[in-house]
Amino acid sequence: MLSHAPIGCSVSQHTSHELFRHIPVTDGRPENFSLHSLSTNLTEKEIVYGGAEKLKKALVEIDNRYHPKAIFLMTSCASGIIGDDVEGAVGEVRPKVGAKIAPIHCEGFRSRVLQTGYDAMWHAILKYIVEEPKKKQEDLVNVTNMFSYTWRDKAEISRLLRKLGLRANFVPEFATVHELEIMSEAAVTAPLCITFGDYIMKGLEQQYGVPYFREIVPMGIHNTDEWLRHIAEFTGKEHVVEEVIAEEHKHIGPKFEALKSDFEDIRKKLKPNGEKLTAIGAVGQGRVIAHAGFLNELGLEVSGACAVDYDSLATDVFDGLIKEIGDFVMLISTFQAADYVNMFHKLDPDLILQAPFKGSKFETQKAMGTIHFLRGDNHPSRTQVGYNGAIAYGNMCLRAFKNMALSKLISDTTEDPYKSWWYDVDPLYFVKENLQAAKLQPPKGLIGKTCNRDCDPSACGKADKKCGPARGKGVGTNA
Amino acid sequence: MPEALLENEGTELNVLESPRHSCALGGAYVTCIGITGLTPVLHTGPGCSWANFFGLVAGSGGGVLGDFGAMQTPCSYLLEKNVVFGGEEKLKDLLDSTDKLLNSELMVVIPGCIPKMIGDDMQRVVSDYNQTHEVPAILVETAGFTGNSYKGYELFFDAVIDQYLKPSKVKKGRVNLLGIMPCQHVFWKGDLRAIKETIELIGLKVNTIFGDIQGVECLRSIPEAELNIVINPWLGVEAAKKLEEKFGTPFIVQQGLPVGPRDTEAFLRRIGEKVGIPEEKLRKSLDRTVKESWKFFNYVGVGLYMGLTDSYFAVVSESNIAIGLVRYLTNDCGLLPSVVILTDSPPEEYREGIIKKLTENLSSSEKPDVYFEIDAFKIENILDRYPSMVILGSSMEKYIASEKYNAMHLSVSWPAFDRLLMRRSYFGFLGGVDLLEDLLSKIARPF
Repeated sequence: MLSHAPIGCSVSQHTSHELFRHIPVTDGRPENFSLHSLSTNLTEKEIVYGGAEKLKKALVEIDNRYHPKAIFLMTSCASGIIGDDVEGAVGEVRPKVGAKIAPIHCEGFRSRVLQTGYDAMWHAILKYIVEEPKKKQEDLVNVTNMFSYTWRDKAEISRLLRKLGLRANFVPEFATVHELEIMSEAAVTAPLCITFGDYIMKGLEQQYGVPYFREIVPMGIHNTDEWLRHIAEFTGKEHVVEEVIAEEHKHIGPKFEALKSDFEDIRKKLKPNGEKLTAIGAVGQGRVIAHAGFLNELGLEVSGACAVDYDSLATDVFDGLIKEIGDFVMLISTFQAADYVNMFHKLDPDLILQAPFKGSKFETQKAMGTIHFLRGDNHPSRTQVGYNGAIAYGNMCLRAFKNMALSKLISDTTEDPYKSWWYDVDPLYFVKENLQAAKLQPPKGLIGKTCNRDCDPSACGKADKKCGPARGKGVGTNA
Repeated sequence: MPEALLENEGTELNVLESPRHSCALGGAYVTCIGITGLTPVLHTGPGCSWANFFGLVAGSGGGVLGDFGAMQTPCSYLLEKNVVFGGEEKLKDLLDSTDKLLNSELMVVIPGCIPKMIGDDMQRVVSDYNQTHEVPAILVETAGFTGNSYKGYELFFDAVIDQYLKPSKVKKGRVNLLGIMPCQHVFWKGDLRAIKETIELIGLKVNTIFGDIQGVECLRSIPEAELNIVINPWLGVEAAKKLEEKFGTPFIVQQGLPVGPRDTEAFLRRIGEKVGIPEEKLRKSLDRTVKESWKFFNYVGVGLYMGLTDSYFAVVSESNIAIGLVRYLTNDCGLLPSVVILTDSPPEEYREGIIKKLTENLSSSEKPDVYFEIDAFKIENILDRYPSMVILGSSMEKYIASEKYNAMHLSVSWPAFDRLLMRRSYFGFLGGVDLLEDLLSKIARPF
């Protein structure tokens, strides 16, 4: 990986030195696995005089140092604004180096949507890495996946496809350069996320006639059945697939029923009036769709979801989902922690599944689990897809109800960074159009009851279990 | 001057592999999140805080730092239209909404590459804001391309001293600590606590600025100190000079983090001399602690013989911690320093002093070779040339240590992706014992 950028842009890629290195070779890590993160380190000099020369030398230097099979070159805000001719520089260097060079045009300011970056990456892979098919590999299945799927997910999917007599080609995570090259020879491209691989799926079909399906991902029992059936359809395994599904159900069915019954026991305790347990999740639209169906299967009610994106790729699927499990509130914003905290407070679900990156404040006194595991996780409990994933991830959700001490304690002992009035307004209060329409008056809360969080619960007649200790140091202009 | 092998480093390189720092924006950002009550306000594109959170923060021993050490950081989120038409309006709105939404005592605007390149007049936006709002805001003159994260730390202090601090009456016995940078110095949380407790043994009141629960008040009271103590051979010296110039506060520079009883006692004596603590009083107040620390050292002594027997060790770290570790492991533990690779790019004028600290007054007959190098590829090439049984470096050396050199490894510098560091500190009377505890725990077994 080469960042054509000032040095800070690649600071999070220093993990590449250690990535996957803890995974035993016996678990499938290539022995000679190495991933290097480099930067052209643009400084004031290049900002003024241009960075193309430095870029050319950098590409040659990398080729000399490591003789890699491929160099992924990422652009930056700075290189974009100074207008370096990246394609020109790469074109000049290409004949001189052994590595394939894939320039990814991903200037940060181009879009607020992460998906734009994924599309840019896939474009580069399709254009510069994927090779013309030498032969058709009828048993090869491309599986698009991202860093929120784990080494164990890979193992589970590979296991299931093996039972069908197929081979999984995981891309781009876990893939070697060769595995990216042969994507054009696959029988079908299947997703672990309905939107992440959109660009490459369409591209592979258009260029090389590799079909794809996008509307379903293997999360939960029913979805895994359907996902496998889709793959079987493209690979002529229609008969085998029913056998495999039946066999898996025989083994996993009782476990899943036990899980559901454990949730029902918890529900009876927490909601004796017969209401369902509610859950809320947060990340991209793809995972919202996958999770909502799965949580419903477990017997939980989805009361809300947060997503960093929402677009035409998913509207049909969302329509279907809402028909199936009922309507729910969805907050679409790019990791806006304040919006999330506001919405969690209003919906007050029994289970929050979230990515733990929203500062020190957990806005719940109830059960909290993680929205996803990470690619380096190699423990069986960290499986999310397939039949074993349904059990493992379902069990994680279940464990979240078994001890809520952590989220409660952190919620109680961490000072609230937000002023109290924030909890009385709509989570989208700061959207410019809303601000103008409301003339800075807080609109009525969309959902649920509101409470002045500056109160002293001990002196308040209306205090209930939801109230923590008095919060907030300041009083906002609208309080 | 001993021979030092200076490698070609930094800006002249055409490519740089995984240096152990971020950009000036990243440095200013993590410096800000080390101060409780302070709100960093990023005037940047969408990815800057994300990259620095998953990089600079995540590699500093883990944890989510306070309210703003993650996805909660206010950011103006500059997009293509702002690149074309300017981002001043967006910054103005951001300051206003941040003030409305957050319980903040001070806002620090940190610009990224975009506004610096398109020429936003941020000073005007900030002063307009200050005229109409109660919570003050200041502007740090960063951009990503301005320099590395250490530069960001220095620019932060420039901004604070120029725009925020006011002259104040000096309070006897108060001292400030400089030079321990949040995140870049991975032990910052534990070290600042330990340094504070240790200096307070001799009756002084220490302002650590970072990591204190009243961070902004600590920042405000910087001019009240009678002495600034820079614990770093170079970082923080510029800030100390500037504070002396503006408020007349004298300063001392401790070249390297003191590890173990001997260097720590010498450090405290220097401070005592400077602020006029009588020798007798000093000796009395340290007596018990010194004895106690030698007792613990004695406990671990056998382990040193058995586990590390006169081993060669290599250090890959910032100058500050490298000096402390080399002196302690050589002079107190009897190990042999083979090579020291410094990764914090100290300015030229400080390098000779740093080399001297690393090669003079050592008890070993062999002195370490000293390199200044930040490129991961070249660092590995240097390590290849030396016999090392122990490598004290970053977690980037973790797998080459075991797979290539068959050496013990402990992460002591950024990035430390393989450790959680909350209260850990190798500073002070017992810090050396803690170091040995961590190191020897890697090989402890029945025999």
